[in-house]
Amino acid sequence: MRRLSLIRELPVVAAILLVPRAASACPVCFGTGDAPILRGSNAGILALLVVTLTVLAAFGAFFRALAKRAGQFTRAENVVVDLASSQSHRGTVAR
Amino acid sequence: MEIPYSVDVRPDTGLNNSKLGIWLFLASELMLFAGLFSTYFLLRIGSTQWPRHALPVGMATLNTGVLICSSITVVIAWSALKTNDWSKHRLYLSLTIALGVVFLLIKRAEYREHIAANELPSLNTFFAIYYTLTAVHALHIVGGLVVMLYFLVTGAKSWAVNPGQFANRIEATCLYWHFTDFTWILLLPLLYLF
Repeated sequence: MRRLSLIRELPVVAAILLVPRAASACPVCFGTGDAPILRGSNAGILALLVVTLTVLAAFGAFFRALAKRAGQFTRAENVVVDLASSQSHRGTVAR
Repeated sequence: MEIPYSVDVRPDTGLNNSKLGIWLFLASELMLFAGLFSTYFLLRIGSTQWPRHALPVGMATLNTGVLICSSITVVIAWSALKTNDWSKHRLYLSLTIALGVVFLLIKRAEYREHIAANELPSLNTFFAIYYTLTAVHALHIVGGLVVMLYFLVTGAKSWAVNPGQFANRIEATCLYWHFTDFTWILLLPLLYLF
């Protein structure tokens, strides 16, 4: 079992080791730390992230509200079912 | 066949279908503009030189006033439906359309000035992003105008058949129109003021 997982992992490990370092260099800044284009890219990414996260948070809040409503409905339904069953039980006992 | 919850509020979401639909559409629109604004930040902060006050602030301010007025008139058009005042609704919807057309005419005059001065999108990245952002926004205004024009022409019949549904459609249009207004208010400082 252990040998099987090693065989599976081997190609991944080999790929990581064999990929040249240059291929993982940033194609925008090529290693220059504080170039304007790098600061521009960061600002662009940040702007996009802020909007995306805001939209995602709004979706999250909406789904949370839906879950809350669903919980309220289920509780209300259970109360109705309990009431109905207790009334029918009372009817059977009286008979 | 009647579509359920086109007028009534859905018990699960607390919204009617048209309102939920328009909010989802506006979320996708927001993502479109977020991509464009992100490009703007990349180009602006990434450039070594960026022209300031290269655009006519007066025209842009006038356009802002026009759009804000149109946002008010479209709300009055919707509230007139809620009070069953059809003629008031038509008047204010027509006014909104007219203000939208005025916005586009001012934008056209602004473009003409730039084109006459040979300030085309190919001149630099500033004008490239300026034309892209304002043209995409203007296209949204055109889209809103087409929808409102459609409601102005065919609205009487829809109102007679199903007033609740028609009022909901106008409300969804209102939300979309406010969104275009909001986008313009973001564009104004980014392109014209700073």
